Amino acid sequence: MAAAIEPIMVTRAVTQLEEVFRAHQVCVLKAAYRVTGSMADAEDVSQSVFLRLAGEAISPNRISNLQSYLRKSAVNAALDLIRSRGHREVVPIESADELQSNSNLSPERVVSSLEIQNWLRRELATLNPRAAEMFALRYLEGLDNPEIAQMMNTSQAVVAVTLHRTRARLKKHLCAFRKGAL
Amino acid sequence: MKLFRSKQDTYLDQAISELRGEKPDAEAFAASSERVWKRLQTGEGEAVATSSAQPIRGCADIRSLLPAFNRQEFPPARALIVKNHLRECVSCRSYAYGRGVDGATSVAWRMEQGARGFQWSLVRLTFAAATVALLVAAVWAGRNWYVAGPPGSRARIDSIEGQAYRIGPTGERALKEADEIGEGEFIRTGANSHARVRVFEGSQVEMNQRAELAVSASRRDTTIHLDQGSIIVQAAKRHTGHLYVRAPDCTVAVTGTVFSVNSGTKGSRVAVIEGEVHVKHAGSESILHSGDLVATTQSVGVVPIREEIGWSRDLDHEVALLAQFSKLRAKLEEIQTPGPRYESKILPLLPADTVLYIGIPNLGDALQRANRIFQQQVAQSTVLQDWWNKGGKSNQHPTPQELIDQIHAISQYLGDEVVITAWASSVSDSHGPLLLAEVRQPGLKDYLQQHLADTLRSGRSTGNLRVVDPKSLSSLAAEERGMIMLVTPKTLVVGGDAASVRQMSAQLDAGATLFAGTDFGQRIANVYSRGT
Repeated sequence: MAAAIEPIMVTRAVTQLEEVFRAHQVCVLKAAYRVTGSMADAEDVSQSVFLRLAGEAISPNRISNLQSYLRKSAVNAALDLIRSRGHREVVPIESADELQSNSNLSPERVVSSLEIQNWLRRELATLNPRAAEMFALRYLEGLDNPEIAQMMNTSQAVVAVTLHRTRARLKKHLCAFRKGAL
Repeated sequence: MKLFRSKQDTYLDQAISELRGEKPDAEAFAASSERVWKRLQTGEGEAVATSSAQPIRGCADIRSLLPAFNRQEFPPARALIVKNHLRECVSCRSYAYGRGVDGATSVAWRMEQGARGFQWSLVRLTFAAATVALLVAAVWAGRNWYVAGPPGSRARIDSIEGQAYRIGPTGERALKEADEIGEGEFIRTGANSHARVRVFEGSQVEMNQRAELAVSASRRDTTIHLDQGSIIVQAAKRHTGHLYVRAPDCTVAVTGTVFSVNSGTKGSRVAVIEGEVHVKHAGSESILHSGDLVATTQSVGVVPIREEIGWSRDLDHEVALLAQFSKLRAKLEEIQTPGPRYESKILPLLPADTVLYIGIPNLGDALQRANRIFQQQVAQSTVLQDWWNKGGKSNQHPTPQELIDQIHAISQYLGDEVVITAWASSVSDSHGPLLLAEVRQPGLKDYLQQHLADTLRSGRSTGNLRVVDPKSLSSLAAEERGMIMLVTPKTLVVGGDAASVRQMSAQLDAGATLFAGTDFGQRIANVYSRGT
C-alpha cells in the first residue's frame, strides 16, 4: 500500500511543478536572459530556480505571489552567475547569429549596442548585490518601487535612495566608458 | 523638480532599453523551455544546477566539484572546465589523485577515512601544564602589581592645629607636620583640632575636628576612606582613574574638583563647591554640580552649603569661589545650544557593517559664547583669577582659549553634526574609529594647512597631523599612522591611519549604502525622526 502511495505522490508533485513551470517559465527565462544575455545561461538559471522550488521545502501554494517570487529568484541567480564571471567578458554564441540576422541595423550599430549591453552587465556584477537586485527589478523587470520594497522587505525610501545612488554611479561610469577611460 | 534630463540620464536609459529590448524570438524561448523541462524531468537537475547555482571561482570550487566530476554527472561543457583546470593546476591534480598537496587529503572516488582525533601525549600534556602554570603566575603577578598600588607613602601632613593622631597596627601616635602616612594607617583629628593633608597624587584634604580617614591606592585610582567627620577635598586633575571618597553609606567619585563630605552615625552629606561629582548611595547615583548638596538619609537633613563648610579655615575663599561658580553656572545655562536634529546627511553614507555611531551636535558657536562669558567672569573676579592661575590652566599649550578659538574656527566650515563611527571590518583590521562631518563652506583645507604651517613655524609639535585631499590621500602608504584629515568638497574625514581614511573615502564616493536599511541604521534613523 505504502509503495503504491509513493508513486502517486511523486506524480502529483511533478504535475504541480509542471503547471507552475508552464505558467511561469517564459517569464523566468526572460528575466534571466535580460541579466545574463545568453540563452544557455538563462536556461541554467531557469533550471536552478525551478529545481530550488521543487527540491526545497518551498511549496508553490505557500507563496502568495509566485510570479514575483520566481522573477526575483531568477534575477538573483542570474546576477550570481554574472558576478561569478568577474571581469571576463562573455560573448554568447547566439549574438553572432543575431548580428547576421538583424539586417535592419548597421554592423557598427549592432557592435556598439552589444558593447553597451556587456558594459551594463559587467557594472551590474560589480554593484552591491542588493543594489544590483533592486536595479534589475526596477529597470529590467519594470517593477515599481512599492513592489520592490515589499519583495525585499524594506521601505520605499530605501529603495528610492538606493536606486538613485546606483543610477548616479552608473551614469558616472557610463560617461567614463563612453570617453574610453574604462 | 528637474525639468530637463541630463545627457548622462539619456545615455543610461538608452543602455537599459538596449538590455531590455534584447530578446530572442518566441521559438527560441519555446525550445529553451522544452530543454529545461526535459532536464528537470530526467533528473540531470542536481548536477547541472550546480553549474549555475555554484560558480567556479578557483581551486576550492574545483575541488568541491571533483566527486560529481568523477561520477561523470556533469554536462560536457562543465566537465571540460574541470578537466582543463586539472591539466593546468598541479595542486588540484595532486589533490584529485590523492597525493595531498598543500596538506589536502584525497577525496572523490576513494573512501574517506575517519579523521584521527586529537590525542594527548606526555610531551603535549607537559607543555599544556607549563602553559597553564605560566598563565596563572602571570595573572597573579599582574593582579598583585595592580592592587598593591604605587610604592611609598599615601599622604603627608601639611599643617595641624590642635591634635592629630596616626592609628596603625602599632597603636596610636601623635602626628606632627610633614609626617608621612602609609597604606592602612588612619589619621584622626582631636576635639577642636584641624589638619591639612596632601594626598600623594596631589589632592588636598582639609579635616575638621574628630574626623578620621585613611588613604589607599591602586595603580589607577586613589581612595580616601572617611570613617567619620567632615572633610573638604580639592581633588587634583588626573589623566587616568578617579579619586574616590568612601564613607560608610556612600561613595563619591571625582576628577579635579572641590567638594565636602560630612559623615556621621545618622548618614552623610556631600556638597559641591566647584566642578562635578558622582555620588552613589542606596543603590542610586546622583550627579552634583557646583552649589548642589545631597544627604544620604532624611535624618541628616539638608543645610545651606555655607553652613556645611562653615568650619573651614578657608571659608571666605571657598564661599567666594562657590558664589562665582554659581553665577557662572547660571550664565552658562542661558547659552542657547543648537536645536534638535531631525536627519543626518552622514548616516546613509556609512558602511552597512557599521557598529559604532556617535552623533554630536556642532557646538562651536556655543563653546565660543561660553568661553566669552567665562573670560568676562575671570576678568571681573580675583577669586576666579587665582583659581585659574593656580590650576596652571593659563600656561599650558595650546591654551584653552587658543583651543576653543581653533574649534570655533573649524566648526564654521562644518555642518550641524559631527559623527564618530567604526565598522566591523575596520575593528577587525585594528583600525580606530573615524570622525566625519559635512563640509558647509569651502576653505577648510586651506585653513587647516595654514594652521599646521603656523604651528610648525612656532616650533611646536603637530603630532604627525596631515591635511590631505583625495588626490594626495592616494599617495600616502596604507600603513601611514597619525592624525589624517581628509578634506573633500563635501566631507571632512579624520582618522588615525591612511588605510581606514582611504576606505571611508571610497565608501563616500560610492554613495548611499544599505546601512540605513539595517536594524542598527533604522534605530538611529528613528532617534533622528524624534529629534535629537
